[in-house]
Amino acid sequence: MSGRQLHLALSAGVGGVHQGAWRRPDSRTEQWGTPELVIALAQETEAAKFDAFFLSDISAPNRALTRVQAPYLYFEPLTAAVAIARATSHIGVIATASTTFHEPYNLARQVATLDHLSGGRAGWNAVTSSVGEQNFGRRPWPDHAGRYERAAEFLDVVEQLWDSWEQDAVRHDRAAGVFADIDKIHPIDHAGTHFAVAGPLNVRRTPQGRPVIVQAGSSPAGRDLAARHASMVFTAQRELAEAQQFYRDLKSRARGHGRPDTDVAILPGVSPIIGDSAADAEEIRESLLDLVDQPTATARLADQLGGIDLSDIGFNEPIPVERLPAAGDIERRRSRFQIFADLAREERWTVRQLVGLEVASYGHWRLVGTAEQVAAELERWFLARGADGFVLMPPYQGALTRFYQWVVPLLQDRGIFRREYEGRTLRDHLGVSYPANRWAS
Amino acid sequence: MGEHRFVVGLRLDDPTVPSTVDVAGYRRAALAAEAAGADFVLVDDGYVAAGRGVGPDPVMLAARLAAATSRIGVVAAAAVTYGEPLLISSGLATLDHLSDGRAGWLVLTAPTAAQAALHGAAPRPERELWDEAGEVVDVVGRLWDSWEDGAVIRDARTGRYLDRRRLHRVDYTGPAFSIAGPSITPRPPQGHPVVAVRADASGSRAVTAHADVLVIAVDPAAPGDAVARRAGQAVAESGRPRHQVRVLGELPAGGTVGAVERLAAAGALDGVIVPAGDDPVAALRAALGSRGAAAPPAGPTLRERLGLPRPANRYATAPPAAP
Ligand SMILES: Cc1cc2nc3c(=O)[nH]c(=O)nc-3n(C[C@H](O)[C@H](O)[C@H](O)COP(=O)(O)O)c2cc1C
Repeated sequence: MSGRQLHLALSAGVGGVHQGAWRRPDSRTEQWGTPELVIALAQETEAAKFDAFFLSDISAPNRALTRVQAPYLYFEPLTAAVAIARATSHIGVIATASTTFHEPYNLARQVATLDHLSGGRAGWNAVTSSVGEQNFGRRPWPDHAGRYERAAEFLDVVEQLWDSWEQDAVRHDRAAGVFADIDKIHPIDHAGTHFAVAGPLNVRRTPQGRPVIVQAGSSPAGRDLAARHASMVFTAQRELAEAQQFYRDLKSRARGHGRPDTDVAILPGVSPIIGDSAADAEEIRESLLDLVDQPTATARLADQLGGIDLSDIGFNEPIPVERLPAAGDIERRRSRFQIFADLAREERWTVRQLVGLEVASYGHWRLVGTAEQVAAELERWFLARGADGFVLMPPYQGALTRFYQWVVPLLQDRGIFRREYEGRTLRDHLGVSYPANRWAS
Repeated sequence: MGEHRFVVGLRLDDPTVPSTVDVAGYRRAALAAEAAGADFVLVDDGYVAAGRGVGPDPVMLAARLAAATSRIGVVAAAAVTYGEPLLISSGLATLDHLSDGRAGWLVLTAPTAAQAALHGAAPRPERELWDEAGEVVDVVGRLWDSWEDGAVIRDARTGRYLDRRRLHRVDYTGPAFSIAGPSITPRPPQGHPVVAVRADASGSRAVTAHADVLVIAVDPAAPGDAVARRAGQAVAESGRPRHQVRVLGELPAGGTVGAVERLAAAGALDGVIVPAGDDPVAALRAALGSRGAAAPPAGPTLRERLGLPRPANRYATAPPAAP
């Protein structure tokens, strides 16, 4: 294959991101939450030649919501990732873990373990988390800026730990009785604001040198973190123009940190509904919406809008924009708030419209159409440099199957997506470089 | 003792099992142990074991071994001192789901100055670490119970996915941490994965009070009645009723054959943990041979292998949801 290639990852929720998905007859909901289903999804995704299988993390279930909506994923992502790696052979396996709630030494060790167990297919989605503090009460919960400050030092420490064993530190010299050359295993002696970590790591250098760092969090602070450390960025973008702006901004930040911009792949989320015809796709979209519990959905929207009161606003009325807080006052999902607030302010979207966006895709890009239309739109964003690829967030199970069976071949025919894996590691798939070890002479 | 199957486990941390994530080595040992009829493998933590300090994450390695095997128990060491209770609980619950109820947890603390230096902490007295560990084990148990069995109802017709009354906050606030819950992971297949602890460590009483398995170090030369006395003492110190705990003797490398035979014959212990050593199969053969024709386990879970009941859920109060 030649030319710039599209990168695809599946965000593996239990069976679809749409709030109504589980109620569809074809949802396989009885199997949601079983390891077998997650493993089967990973295998189907590998058969479709995706770059990566992506496991998100919820830190805390929302009790009110789970009454009517399946939790996104049930398992601790790093442990589940091991089972997925074992059941597959090529696809990258990305596990989400929070820099706010984890300890850098433990996490560096866990992700390194995953890279070894998967033969170089590990990725870590480093998030700062916008919920879950009630379950991690060892430390006070920092604000948005404080979380990113901690994240920056966290990632720095983790990268140092991954470098702490030089590539050739392990000698396996049976005759001399020397297991490793200790001059090539380096303490890191990090002493910073948030962490003091002596090192070295207790796991040798991993197949990818360093496992892939993925970043999700799109505020300026999040972008800067990504520009320094991430090889892949997962973001929510709804319009091509905005996506292009985000893309240019992040690539230029990466160059600003001395990195070639091809080393950061930018993948907006996309939630496609694929019909036999455009009318069929619309029909599916409507029927999914019918399966949504309205009060819960409105509560989700109110939450996304910074917790404002919507109880007195009719479903077909626009949002009273004077109630919206300033973005800077949003301590939780600031960049996502921005998407919803912009639609409310600038396009005067109604409660119904915004609820539709929230329950369908959490604010991620929605695509509704035929396979040809979906493939053409993805290609358009890709060629216009709004994206290097996409994180597929199937609204429901059937959409996933259709994407694999109908859309992937079209992308392959257009010459922008692989027909076979060409490399073995996640870095190979993403086309990003292997980092040099800071200790290597 | 001796009313239960004599249980045999294989410890995989021995330095001769290559310790820098040689997956194949671990897997071979686990498969050999399963084929030989052992009850579990124990992935100890090289990060904690004195004098080493190399090794993959035990819970994740155990998940790998669980995927490679189908019957044997997989027990992972996890240190609580610098871990988050929620992550420990969901990691082990995930291991139990992945293995269909074959998971166990060996509770460790991380007491050394070297370990503290990896986490920017000052070393603390061991007693304090064990007290905190007792807190963590207690809360992890609550988190495992925070989803009642059958909390997920998936009633597509009425749109109710979950019976909210069967999802519980744990609302714990203690000296070391606070945690609201519920967990992110549904109740593990075993209710609780099997909780084990080395009962010899001073201060470990805080944890043995919550444990299913007490592990005591056994000197292979010690007479059977001395070992039996020590086992009885460990149970007494834990405060647990005798029938609710199992006492396993952990043998040092080398010379296990005669020792296991003697201990099994004397009925001093409920089972043994043998180190894999150079030849895991040989190590096990001795131990397994001496338990004679063991009754088959009551079922496929690790609890059933150990003859331990599935724990009741402390939060189970709500009657089943009306359909
Ligand atoms: C595409 C995307 C995916 C995310 N996935 C997760 C996740 O799985 N778990 C999590 O705790 N936070 C997740 N986050 C939240 C981020 O951790 C972050 O807390 C939040 O986006 C606020 O930061 P921001 O204002 O920079 O976006 C995600 C964010 C984005 C944009």
